[in-house]
Amino acid sequence: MPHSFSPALAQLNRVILGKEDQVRMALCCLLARGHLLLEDLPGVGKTTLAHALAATVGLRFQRVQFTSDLLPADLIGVSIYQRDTGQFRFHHGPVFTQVLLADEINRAPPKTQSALLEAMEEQQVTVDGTSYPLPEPFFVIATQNPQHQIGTFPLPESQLDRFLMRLELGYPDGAAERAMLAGENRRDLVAQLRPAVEPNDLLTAQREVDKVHVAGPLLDYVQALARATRSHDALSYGLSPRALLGLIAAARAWAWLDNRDHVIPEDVQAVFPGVAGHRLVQRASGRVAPDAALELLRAVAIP
Amino acid sequence: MAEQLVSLPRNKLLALLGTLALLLAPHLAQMPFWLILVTLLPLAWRAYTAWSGRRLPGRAVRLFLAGAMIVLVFLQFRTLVGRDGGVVLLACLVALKLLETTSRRDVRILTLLGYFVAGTLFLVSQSFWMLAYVVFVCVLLTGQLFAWQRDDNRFEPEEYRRALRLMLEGLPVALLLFVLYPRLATPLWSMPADRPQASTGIADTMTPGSFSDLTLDDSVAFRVDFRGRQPERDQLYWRGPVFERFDGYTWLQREFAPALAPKIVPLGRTLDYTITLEPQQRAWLFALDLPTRLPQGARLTSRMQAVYRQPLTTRARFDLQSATDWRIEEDGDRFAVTQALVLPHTGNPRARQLAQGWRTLPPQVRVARALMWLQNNRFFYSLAPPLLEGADQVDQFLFTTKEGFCEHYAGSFSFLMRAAGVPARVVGGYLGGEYNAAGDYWIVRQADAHAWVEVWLEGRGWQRVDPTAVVSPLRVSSGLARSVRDSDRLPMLLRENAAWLANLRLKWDNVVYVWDRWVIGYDTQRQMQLLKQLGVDSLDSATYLAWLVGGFAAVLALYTLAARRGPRADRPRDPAARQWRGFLRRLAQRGLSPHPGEGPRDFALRAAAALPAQAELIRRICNHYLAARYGDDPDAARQLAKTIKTFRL
Repeated sequence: MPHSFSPALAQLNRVILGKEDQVRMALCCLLARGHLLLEDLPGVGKTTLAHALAATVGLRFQRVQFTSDLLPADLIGVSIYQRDTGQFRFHHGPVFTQVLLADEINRAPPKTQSALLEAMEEQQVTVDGTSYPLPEPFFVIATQNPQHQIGTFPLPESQLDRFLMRLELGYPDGAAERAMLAGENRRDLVAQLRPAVEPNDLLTAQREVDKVHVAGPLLDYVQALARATRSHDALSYGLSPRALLGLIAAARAWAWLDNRDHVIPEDVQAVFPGVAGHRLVQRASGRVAPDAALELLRAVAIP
Repeated sequence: MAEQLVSLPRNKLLALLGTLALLLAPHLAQMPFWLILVTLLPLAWRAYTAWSGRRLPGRAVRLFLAGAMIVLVFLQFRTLVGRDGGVVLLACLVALKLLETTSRRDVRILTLLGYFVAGTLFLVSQSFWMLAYVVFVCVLLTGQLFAWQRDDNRFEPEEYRRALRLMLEGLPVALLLFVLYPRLATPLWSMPADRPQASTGIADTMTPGSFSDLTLDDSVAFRVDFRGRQPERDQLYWRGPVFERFDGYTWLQREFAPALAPKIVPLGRTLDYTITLEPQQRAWLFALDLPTRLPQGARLTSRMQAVYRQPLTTRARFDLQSATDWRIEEDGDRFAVTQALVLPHTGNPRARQLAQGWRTLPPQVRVARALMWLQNNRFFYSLAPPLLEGADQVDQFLFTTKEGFCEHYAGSFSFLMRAAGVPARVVGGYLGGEYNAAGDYWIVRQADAHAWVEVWLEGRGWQRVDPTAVVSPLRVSSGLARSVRDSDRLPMLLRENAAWLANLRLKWDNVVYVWDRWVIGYDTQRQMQLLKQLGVDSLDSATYLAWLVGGFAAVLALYTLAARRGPRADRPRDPAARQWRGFLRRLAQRGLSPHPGEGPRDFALRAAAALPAQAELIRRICNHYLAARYGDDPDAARQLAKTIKTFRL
């Protein structure tokens, strides 16, 4: 029986042309309760993907353009003195939504970045000693321009670790690009999108994903991969335990999207570059090394 | 206490109780009935509380039981220490300890005590069976120790397999220690015979019936290994005690034999052999008639019997040399010759009268005449001769019943000889034996007990005369089984028609013999012999140290090697993984094998593309494998095995 998200996948692929893998990964990230980091050049469809995803799953959507003068309060909200009541009242910021698109996150100063990352981790924000829970699900899609562009504050590794996956969209292939150019305006398409799943389907699906069976031999494989990253000569760090938890969660979601009740090594291999790519830092250059993930997958034997 | 009680898992506790019962069983067999009851009571009680969840008895009850045990053991053994009393007391107290076993710590103590009790089982018996039994019980104990180590209530057979593996892994070290560790010249505690057996063996007196009773006893008296030349069966007279005094009813040994032993000069070739004696109450070596060389610690009496300096209460091995043909020189014991003519003053007039008639003949002819008389007067060889009663038993036998066993013939013949004026005496021992081809040695059983006669002839000394051979020549040439009419009175194993059983028994006897010779018989002396062959002269030498250290290093290297190769890496434990590996091997014949990082599904897709005819089957095998190895489906492994069986290249 196909899972409840196949119509959603089909609809997304109609809007975002030629990016089936990335679309599937983005959905997988959502199902695994992780946050997504899209890193690519401007104009390849990052915002469209985020927007389409939110619309298709039927979630409330907010977009915040991160700039160098964006302050935490602009994102989270601020307590304002009410003259008539004589009290402070909290005005919710744009973070109080289900899908938050943090556009060009590396343009904001570190203080604002960390405010967002805190919200991502805690699922709540605290202002003036009062905690305000964020809605559920809460899914952050951050986009980031390649770091060598000027005027950016690159995210430190510790904060990159908070994102379950990092994806690159890349240029579309010729046929897809042609279809896109010939077709309707993407923004209009997104605006017309209707939710392809029922309101509760996402939460149900997330619970089902949690139940996907992970066998001992598969954990052996995950640990073997982790050992390989940790003992790799060219890498500064290996994968953290949090990363491994994320890897398993993502692999579960991937298996679920494949209509299976158990995870197989191929699921791990499918999500591994997305989950591990931004966590592996090259020793020589100090930059993240997404290619190392692929190399490891080829080298580590499946127990 | 009640709360802790709940925390001990019932299944493991009952398993421990069962194992302790097994441990105590051999000890129980040695206890009197009421002591068995007292020992089993705590076991049963603990099992009941484990089952019902009731409280354990209080301190007063336990103290009372402990007191009762101590008193009972003391009453039985008259001591609380030592081999018998101490061990039985230990067994009792281990059982009692159960009644205060409420925590895992107690269980651990009990298990360790269990190992100790297992060690004491060798005080009950040192047989091969006992070793097997002790190893079995130790595997159970160790497996349970593993199980107790887990916090949950689960108890899997895997624990026993682990225990067995652990024991097997310890085997090289055990062997090394057995061979190299200095053996104690004398045990820490003396090891008397397994059990005093008053009934078996040749006694130091001979009355009618004392030998024929032994024919019912098929227990082993001794085993003999001949080196080089094998003897003839009719030469196998194993010499035991010499009976010289006759009181009209019983033949007795003389109280003391102060004279020097005569010198035995072998004529022809001698026989070299090793004799392994089962425990006995006496010091008799039962050398082959007659011994020419004795082991250290043994001497030849003036009656030419080989005796050891102390009773042979444990199994013992000796190297001996005998001559079946000999000449005796320097027999200065004229007293023995005169004693060999003494008869009671009265009694058995008819036998005396018969012998008187031969007095005029030369001594040698008298012997021949007496043998001829026996031959011509319809005597029968029988295991169940009529009972001889009252006085004049020799007359009764010679002239009325005419049916008897070897002691009847030997005794009567000696009487006739003495009455005829020829010095004569009765020699006890064994005749013949059973050749065990499985191990190339002879088994002499108690049933082979025999008595024959020695007469003294001027100029020739003591000569063996076997009157039984005249009556029943088969007894000498073929053994007991073929020589008696009433073979149903024979022990099971000597009967001819139980050939297959006897054969099995011989094979088993060989195992026991090897065990006794190489394991039980591995003593200080044999260890030194072995070590000398390894170039070790003393236990202080550097060579010994080198062997010890080198041996352990070799064993360690062995372990390391085994651990590196590891069954895990070699052969997956998961049956699905094993099946899959076999499947991959077969695909490899077609040049298809997965890349290091290639997942099973990706590989199956590739293989299916390469073998389009098998594509569907490969896909199904792969799905079953994935479901079995990574899925939650207990049935998938079976499905996988079934599907792989249909796969043909």
